[in-house]
Amino acid sequence: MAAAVHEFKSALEELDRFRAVIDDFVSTDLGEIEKNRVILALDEAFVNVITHGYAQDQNKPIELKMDRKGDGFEFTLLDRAPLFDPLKAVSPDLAGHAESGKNHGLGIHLYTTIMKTTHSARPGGGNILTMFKAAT
Amino acid sequence: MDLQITSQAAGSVTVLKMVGKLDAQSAPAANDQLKALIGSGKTKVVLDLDGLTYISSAGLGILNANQAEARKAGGMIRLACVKPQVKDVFDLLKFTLLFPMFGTVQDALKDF
Repeated sequence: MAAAVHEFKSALEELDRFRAVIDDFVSTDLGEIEKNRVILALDEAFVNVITHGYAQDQNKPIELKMDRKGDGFEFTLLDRAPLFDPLKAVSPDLAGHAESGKNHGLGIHLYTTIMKTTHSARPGGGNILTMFKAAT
Repeated sequence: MDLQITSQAAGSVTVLKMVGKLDAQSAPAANDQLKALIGSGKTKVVLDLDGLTYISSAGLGILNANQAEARKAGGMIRLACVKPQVKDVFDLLKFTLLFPMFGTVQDALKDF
């Protein structure tokens, strides 16, 4: 499939459309579990930009680029939110998390576990989050 | 919003059937419903997830928080009919240990 670029506004109402375009892009090459993991990883990153990066301001832009790279898929999420490198976030203590009944703080762990993730500052302000998933 | 929840009593246990997607958009309303149920003293809950096609960390978070509340009050949330792609997310976060899973609602009810 050819590379694709989609633009979204920073609103949770966009989640269905966001997941649908990813599903469409990977559906012929990944099994159900792997496809769900890719959608989940990007969902987590997208939601973090909306809720933390843009602090629920619903009119900010988020761009998703999808491309085939070598033996897999490369996804790039671009925003204009304040600079934040998720790879510097502290990994959660999963056992402690469960014990305490905490209801948040697992998104970054999920997407960095599922996909090879890199972060860079976006020229002009914002973030570029790149995720790679091998099509195994 | 792409999640419907229906409730049915089965003796002292409440069976909540979730159909749709439990994500960042639907989790707050689902949390309100679970919290109200457990807060009212109905702490034995079976979630019938046969119709749940997707869960994100926001969904797992509210289940985790309400499981903690149910356990504190002497009850528990048990899961039934969990689809493979949903179970996989529990596995990724090692939450499978926290939520007993059963193949059918009847089996989950029997375990209380």
